[in-house]
Amino acid sequence: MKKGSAELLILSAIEARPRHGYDIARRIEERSKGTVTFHAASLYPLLYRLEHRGWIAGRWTEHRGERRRRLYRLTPEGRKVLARQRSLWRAFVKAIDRAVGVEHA
Amino acid sequence: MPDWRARVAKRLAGLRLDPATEREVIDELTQHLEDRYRDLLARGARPDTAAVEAWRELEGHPRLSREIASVRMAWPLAPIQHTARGGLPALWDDLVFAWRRLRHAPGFTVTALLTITLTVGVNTAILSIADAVLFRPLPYADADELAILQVRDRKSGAQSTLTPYSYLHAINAACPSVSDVGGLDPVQWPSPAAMPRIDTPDGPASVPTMAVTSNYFGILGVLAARGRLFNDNDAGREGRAAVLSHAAWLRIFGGDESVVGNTITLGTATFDLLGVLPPGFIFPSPFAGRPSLVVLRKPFGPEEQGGTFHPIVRIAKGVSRERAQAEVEAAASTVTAGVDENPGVPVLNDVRTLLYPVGRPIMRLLLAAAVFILLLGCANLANMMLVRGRRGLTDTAVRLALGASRGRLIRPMFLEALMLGLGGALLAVGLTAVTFDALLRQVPPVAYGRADVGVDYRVLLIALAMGLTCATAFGIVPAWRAAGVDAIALIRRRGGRGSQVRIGRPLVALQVAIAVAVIFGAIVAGRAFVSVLNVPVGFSSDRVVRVELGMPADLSRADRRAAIDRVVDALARRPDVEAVGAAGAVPFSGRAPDAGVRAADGGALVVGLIYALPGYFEAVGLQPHRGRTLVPGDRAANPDVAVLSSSAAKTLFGDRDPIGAHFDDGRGRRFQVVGVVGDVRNFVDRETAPLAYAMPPPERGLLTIVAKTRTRAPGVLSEIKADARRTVPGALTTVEWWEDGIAANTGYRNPRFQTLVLSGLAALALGLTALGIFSVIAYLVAARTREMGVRLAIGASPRSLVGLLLRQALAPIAIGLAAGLVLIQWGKQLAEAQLFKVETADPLALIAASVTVVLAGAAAAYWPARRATKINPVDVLRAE
Repeated sequence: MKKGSAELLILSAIEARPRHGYDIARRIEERSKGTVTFHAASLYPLLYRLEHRGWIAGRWTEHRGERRRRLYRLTPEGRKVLARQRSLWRAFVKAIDRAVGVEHA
Repeated sequence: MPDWRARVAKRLAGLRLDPATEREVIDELTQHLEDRYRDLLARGARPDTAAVEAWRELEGHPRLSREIASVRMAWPLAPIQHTARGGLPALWDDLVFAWRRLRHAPGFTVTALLTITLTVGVNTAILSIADAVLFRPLPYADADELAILQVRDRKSGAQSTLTPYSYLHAINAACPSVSDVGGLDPVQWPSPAAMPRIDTPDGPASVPTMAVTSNYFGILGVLAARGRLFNDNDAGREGRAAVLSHAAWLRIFGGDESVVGNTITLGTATFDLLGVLPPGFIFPSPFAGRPSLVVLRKPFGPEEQGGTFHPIVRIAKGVSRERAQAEVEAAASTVTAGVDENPGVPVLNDVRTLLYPVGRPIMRLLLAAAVFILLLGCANLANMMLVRGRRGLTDTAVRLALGASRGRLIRPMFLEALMLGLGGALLAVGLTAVTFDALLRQVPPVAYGRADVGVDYRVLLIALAMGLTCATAFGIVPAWRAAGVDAIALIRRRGGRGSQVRIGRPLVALQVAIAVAVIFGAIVAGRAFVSVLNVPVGFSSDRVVRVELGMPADLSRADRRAAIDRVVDALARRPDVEAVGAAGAVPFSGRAPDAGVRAADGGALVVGLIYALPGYFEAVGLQPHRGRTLVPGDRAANPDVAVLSSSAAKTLFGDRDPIGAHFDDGRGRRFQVVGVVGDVRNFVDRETAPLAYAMPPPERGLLTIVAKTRTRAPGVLSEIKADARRTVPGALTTVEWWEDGIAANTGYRNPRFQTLVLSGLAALALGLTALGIFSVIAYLVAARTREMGVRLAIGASPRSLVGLLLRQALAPIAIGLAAGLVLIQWGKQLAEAQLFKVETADPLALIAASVTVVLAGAAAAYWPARRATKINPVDVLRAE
């Protein structure tokens, strides 16, 4: 798998709205129809690293009767990175498709 | 539901983050597992299956804790602006970022600040004293045009401070290149009662007074702080017109403006106060002290006998010192032509050199040591920055990959260094200012003479410059290196490290070289002080009470002498007094010998003659080497017996037996030698002079009484003072412990100062060096964790790894040691040229310095090297 694709997956998972860690993992699993799964052990180090780079920002929120959760949202910088990585990814996929001979309709 | 929290906490046991962050991470992962468990149950899984399945989320990943810790612990990254925010706002961002980086690394910040504070602090402290002695302009206009006259003996080349009046006249008459001579003399009061005095809570105190010629202040180019100073129109007002020192004006008159221009009364004496000298004024003569009152002296008369100390002239603008010197010599030769008794050649001396004869070389040496310390501190800072630069390297790489400009990357690091330098320098100046008085008390005054010393704005500016230069010059190098990294290689965690190891080790060598040199220099400088201060003085001032009698005005000379004898007798009767005597010029009083003995051909004075009463030798611990000392019976029976010092015996009689021999003082008095005693030092910084001791002539009434007591009991001084007052009513008595007086005047024997110079500077150098070696080795270990892991995995023992690292540390230490020894060889010549009686061929000091540094270096290397043994090879290899 292409380097940086995990980052791309996480960034796009929280593009629409902030989500907590488990939510992010489930969303990625659902949208990939179970093809891509994230375990906590690989997800959280990655989240922390993205946060450290300033692409996403985590914040604790509390709802009545629930434990506090940490919600991650995209920072403006993360949004830029997402846009760039997305276009790079499209180009990459297109190139791979061409290379393996998949024809577009 | 299983206790996920406990299981997660156990799983992440190795996190070692700060408690709050660690709790957050555990909370978040616990929440994740709970969510997963509930989800599985909701999809119909059995609880035990769900528990196993949920836990699989955290299985595998042996380095999970470390991975999380490494991200959560790392420094915050600067916001990278791709927007147009530039100029000042961007600078502000970088400043804030630099500040945040420093706050996030308190260990580094504190160590770096401490290093700068200490190194700059040592420099400001030494500079505060050295500045006055070495650099600060003398408080005279165009001081480089001024010169002090001394007289050089034609045979010995030694300079005498007394210039004969005959020379001064000749110079005034015949030297167009120099101004008229200005003179400074002690005041000859007609009687002690005429001396100006003031009342203090401790009883009447005399006002120290000097007399100057009317042109004196004009030649110096000094302007009055209030009123005016003397000028040529004051002729005829000698002994009446006066100016006050600024300190005395404040002390005696509370800075009252109305006294200026009016008549003032000090005791029985009245003066017309013309003005006040500027604060900080010092007389260009080491003998002048700090007089409170300066009166006008009559111009040097043509018939006046004798001479004056340290007369001053101003060399005309554009005239070279050599030409002025030639003129002065020519003028003197007109006086000496055809005269047998030749006082010598007048010499124009540099004012500063004369003012600080001992202080300058010693201060220069101390300053050199301080600069070395500064270099050491800077090298350390460079090391620390390097290590820090490496830690932040991955961040740097990421930001470079994201398109940050290299300049922008360097700036926060540069600002960080700037902040550290500024902070450290300010702390250093503050620390010096606060501790300066305590510090100065440890320094013998001989080191700085009469100069005003203290922390002033010049020192502050220099400290700031030092701190900033040191921090930025050495902070920018690692910053530049960090910015020069290969981003891609670094993100892949490879390369980019060797180059920094290569800088680190030469830095260690540099530090070791400097440390060896500084420690050796400290030992040598300390010993120079010790040799100046601790050369056997030949007498003992322990438990000796010194009594000076200021006689009432109406006493004749003979009466005065009788009064002294009475006090000596009274003290001799005290049970707590072991011995009591009196002498004219006692050692360290600053007085010249009472009389002199001329050479057999009637030429130069070869031996000083001290008038001493029997009992003096016993009181000051002068044991006879041969024969005997003076005894009370000599007063009547043999008034012309004399005791010689060993060097005087040699001067007068060579290898012949002096006992029983006779000598002549050249003025008709003939002495018979009865004994020889040891040599006595009269000045702290001068060689001993040959001396003869003889009974004073009956009319000699100026003697200092010394009494050796059995114990230094607290009440003794006031009792003796009362005795003296009772015996000689109306006398102005000074009674003190002699050693206190000597210590105050000369700082002679001040072991605390040696300790301060020696251990302070050397310990600092050693500490800094150890710190530098420590950080380089720690850095080596950190940079080569993987290599160490591999070595361990293929069977290297932890002990052999420590050995390997130690050997790598010892190589630069050895190189540094060799360089240090070369540095010492070179510095030795400097020290020998500069210092009075310095012993630099000192193998013991050399060995001590080397061994200390090597041991400290090895210890500093061992500590971080041990960390290598804690590497788990499995972790390291798995990370590959």
